[in-house]
Amino acid sequence: MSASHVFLEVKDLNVAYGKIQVLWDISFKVYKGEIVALVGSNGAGKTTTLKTIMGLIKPLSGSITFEGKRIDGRPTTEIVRMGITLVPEGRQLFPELSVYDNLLAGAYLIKDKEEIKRRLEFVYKIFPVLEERKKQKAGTLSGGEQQMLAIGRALMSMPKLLMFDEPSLGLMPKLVDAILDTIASLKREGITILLVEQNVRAALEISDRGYVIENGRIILEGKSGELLESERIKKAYLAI
Amino acid sequence: MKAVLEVHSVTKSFGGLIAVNNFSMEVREREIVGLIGPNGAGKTTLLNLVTGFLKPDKGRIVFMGEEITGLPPHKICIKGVARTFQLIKPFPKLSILDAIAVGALVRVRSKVEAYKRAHEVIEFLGLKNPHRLCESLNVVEEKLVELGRALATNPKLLLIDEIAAGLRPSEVEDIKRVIRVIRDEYNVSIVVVEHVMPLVMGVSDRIVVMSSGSKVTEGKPEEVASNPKVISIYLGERRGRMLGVKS
Repeated sequence: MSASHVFLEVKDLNVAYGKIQVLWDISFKVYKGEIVALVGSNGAGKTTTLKTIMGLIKPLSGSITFEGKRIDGRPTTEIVRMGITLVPEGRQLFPELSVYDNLLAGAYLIKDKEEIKRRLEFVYKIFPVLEERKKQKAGTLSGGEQQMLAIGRALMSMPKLLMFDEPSLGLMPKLVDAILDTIASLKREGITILLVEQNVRAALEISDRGYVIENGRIILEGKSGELLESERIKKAYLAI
Repeated sequence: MKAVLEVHSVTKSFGGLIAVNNFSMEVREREIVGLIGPNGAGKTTLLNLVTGFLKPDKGRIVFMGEEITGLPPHKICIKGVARTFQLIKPFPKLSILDAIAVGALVRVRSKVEAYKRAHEVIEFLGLKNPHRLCESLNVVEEKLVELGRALATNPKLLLIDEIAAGLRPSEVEDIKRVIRVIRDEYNVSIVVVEHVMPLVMGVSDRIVVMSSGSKVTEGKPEEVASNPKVISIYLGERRGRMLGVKS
């Protein structure tokens, strides 16, 4: 693909928490229409990368470009408005609010009531169960339904790039499959996806390309199918 | 080889969550054992059980042939078990020398003796300028002081909890060397709890893999790394079917 299709570009990103540097010269690209998996073991720096893209953490150095515009250093609301949304790890719903109100919270930057209605219909089409349970408190949903709500809430902001942080965490295997199927189907809706996942094999199976991050550095990258078959990925994880 | 530490069928629950489930392992004299597993596997809980920070619901912990199950941490420390913490516990307003002497005071009564011991440890670890305050240290020095304080207690068993987090690869290599030299020079047995695989796979004689509170397998690093169960724990299971999304 040509450079003009680069949607998100992270370049030489360095991030520290106090004295501890956690990201070292992280560089990767996401092309329009792709699912890109960012995988790595605990503490590798995956969540930090996502938070930095969202403007929740200020990098020491490096740049983040989205649709040709620099976004590093911009406030999070502006980044969301530009079309990037995060489905955070652990879902971070408002448990005491209804399903419906949780969804509306995702559309807080959208002022057009008709647009909000259209987005709701879109979300209900993908997750019919959320419509059935729209009056129920979010905290009373099952784990899988809560993950659907978290994704639904993110979709309400009309993202062009949707980022997932460990969407399969804490879900039983059957639901993991359902959530990953959903993510794959969002690609068909024209949404570009950056997927952070602990389940490396599953993440590589639904993605186009993958990056392996270890101790804050990208140590491996390639087409997902090739990474999946590669011995190097095992070595990347187990160092042997 | 004699067992220094024996963990027999230990179980520990927090409410409904079984953090450590009927877990057994042993550490032999002068052995370096790596304890690995995903987040939430129960590794730190196990260290907390061995060091007396937590009491097991079931099972026995034996150190040098003597049961230590349920003893308070300071008694276990005096018997010869020392640890470092994942989130290091520095004394920011103490000097390197004083911070390490605190560890020595577990073993010796006089300050003179404690400082003597602290100086030995500082020299051994190669820490420069020991009158600097702990708050002024860089990350590697902080970790060395954490190790030094534990070493100053003159342990027979040293438990090291995620010391490599936040270090560069070259620093990880340095710490790897330090751990080996500690074993060789101080004749201690060491348990390394670690996510940073180049460290734990490189330094350990034997690896114990823990997941969801239970032991998955144990063996030499290369045996463990080629075990399909271990690979699945780290890389996840493949999905039953392929989706038609990849072109």
